[in-house]
Amino acid sequence: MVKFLAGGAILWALVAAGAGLRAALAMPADSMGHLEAEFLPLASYLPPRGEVGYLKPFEDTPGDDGVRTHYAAQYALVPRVVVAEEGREFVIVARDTARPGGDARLDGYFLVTRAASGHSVYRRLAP
Amino acid sequence: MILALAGLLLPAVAAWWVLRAMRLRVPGDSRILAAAVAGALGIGASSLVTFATVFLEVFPGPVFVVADASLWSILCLAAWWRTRGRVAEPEAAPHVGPAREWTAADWLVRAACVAVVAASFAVPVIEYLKSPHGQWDAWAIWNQKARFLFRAGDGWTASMSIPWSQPGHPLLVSLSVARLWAYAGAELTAVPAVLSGVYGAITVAIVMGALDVGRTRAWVAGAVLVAPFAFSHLASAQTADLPFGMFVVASLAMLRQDDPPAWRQPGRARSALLLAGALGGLSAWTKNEGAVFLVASSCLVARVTLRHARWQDAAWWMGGVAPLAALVAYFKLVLMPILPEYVSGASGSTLIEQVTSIARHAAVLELVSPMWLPWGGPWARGSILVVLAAALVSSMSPTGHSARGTLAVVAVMIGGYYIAYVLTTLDLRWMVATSFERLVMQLWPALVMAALSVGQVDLRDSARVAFAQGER
Repeated sequence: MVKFLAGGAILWALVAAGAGLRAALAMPADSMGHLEAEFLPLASYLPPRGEVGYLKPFEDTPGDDGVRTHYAAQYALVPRVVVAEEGREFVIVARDTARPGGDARLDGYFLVTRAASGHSVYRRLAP
Repeated sequence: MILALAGLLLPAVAAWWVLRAMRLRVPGDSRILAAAVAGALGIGASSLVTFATVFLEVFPGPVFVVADASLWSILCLAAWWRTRGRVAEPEAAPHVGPAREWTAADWLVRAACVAVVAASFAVPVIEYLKSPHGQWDAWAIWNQKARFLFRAGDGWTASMSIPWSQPGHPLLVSLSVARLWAYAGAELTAVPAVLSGVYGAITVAIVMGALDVGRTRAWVAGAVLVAPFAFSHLASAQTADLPFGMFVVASLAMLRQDDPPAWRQPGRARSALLLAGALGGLSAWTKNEGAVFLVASSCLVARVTLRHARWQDAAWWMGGVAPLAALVAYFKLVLMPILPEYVSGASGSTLIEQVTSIARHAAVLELVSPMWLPWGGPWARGSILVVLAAALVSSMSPTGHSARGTLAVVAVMIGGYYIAYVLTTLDLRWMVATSFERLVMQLWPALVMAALSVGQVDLRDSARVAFAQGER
């Protein structure tokens, strides 16, 4: 009986491990590497430490994409803290997050740089 | 990467020799178990040293690497020197009776286990090639904190203001990654990936070593442990759940009660309890859930103490736990006095209301109950229930002391996780959906160990003990 159960367990383990391998092969590639690389060119235009702002998308988008982009900015720009609040001296404006045709939240800011990816850094005109 | 691997190996080798120098022996004197425990202790201890150097502001520069490598090398040499010329331990005792020869079926099981392990450990390689930064929690929490430590040194506390980075969780995983980056001199994505795989490998070695690799049940356990995709996927995750599960199962392996004569020897009991305490303490230095484990395993230690009528047993366990519990308390009360995200913002009355609300309990049960069956991934449906049932059967057998103890600890932990679900202020549906698989995975190695703790006491162990007693 014990041998039968052990044999069954081993057979199941072989099948399950094979199925796991198949599942891993079918998994899509994660975009974090690309997202991180998109934000890295902005680092030299930001203070080396401290908090920098992050403009929230002008309209709520369904899914995790907006959150993932914000988290990617934070991950890339450590040890800065990228806070989704307005009023900071430096503000990161991710691609497609500002309202097209002019975003009132960026009034009083000027464009410091725009990376090839479309992400930008804005800085307040006066302290 | 070679330097990072050297940095990973040094504390493990030092821990191995320190265990020998201090005559701290693992139950059953399994060399595989001893090596796995040394590996786990090496990772834990080196994270503590790194934490100290962050405060001394020498991390992560070359001074740190030289000082850290020197420390572990000196410790290793000193421990080796101390063991030099020592009379062989009773582990060299002769076997009583002829050793059982392996049959064709035994060899088949071993070969199948190797195939299962190979397939399961190919998953982290494949996933690393697709997601070198690990899964969501890796780059949002653990590796991100490691970056703060590596890039800002003592300025890492800035990460405290990032709400999603779980600032209140302890630092073992992030410190270990940052430490090896310091050795490598660069933020290699391979470092957390390899570490994650090492946690998985140590976990397998602990379970198999505790069940005695000379017996076929250990090989069945190894195969069952790594077979579900939930395990290999977590070994690819670069998060803290697998190392937490590793410390939990390592601590429980030290508390196994398979060999009553060995437990009657104060020296053996001292070793097991001190190591169980230290490994349990390291679980609390890995994740918040470690506090639940310490509460649960303290009940088991109390039972062991009462059973042998030796209060010193509890003292040895406390001796292992106390330094780490003090560090975790300092971290949580002084450095990062932040409530976990899942209960933050709740008043005492809200929490009491939730605990006493039948509707709340019903909601938790309604969400959690259907998640047990599909747990594990493709072709692993029902595996947790089967292993739970096997652990129960094993615990009810006359020689099921170990399974009973392990299962009791797991039951208390499940109760703790259930209470966390009841108390959470986050969206319950989201909380359960994003945490259930990981939480069960933390307990899976311990459950597999309990389930396969079948069979009689190994006579060789008892014989060794008798031999040792006769020798003295």
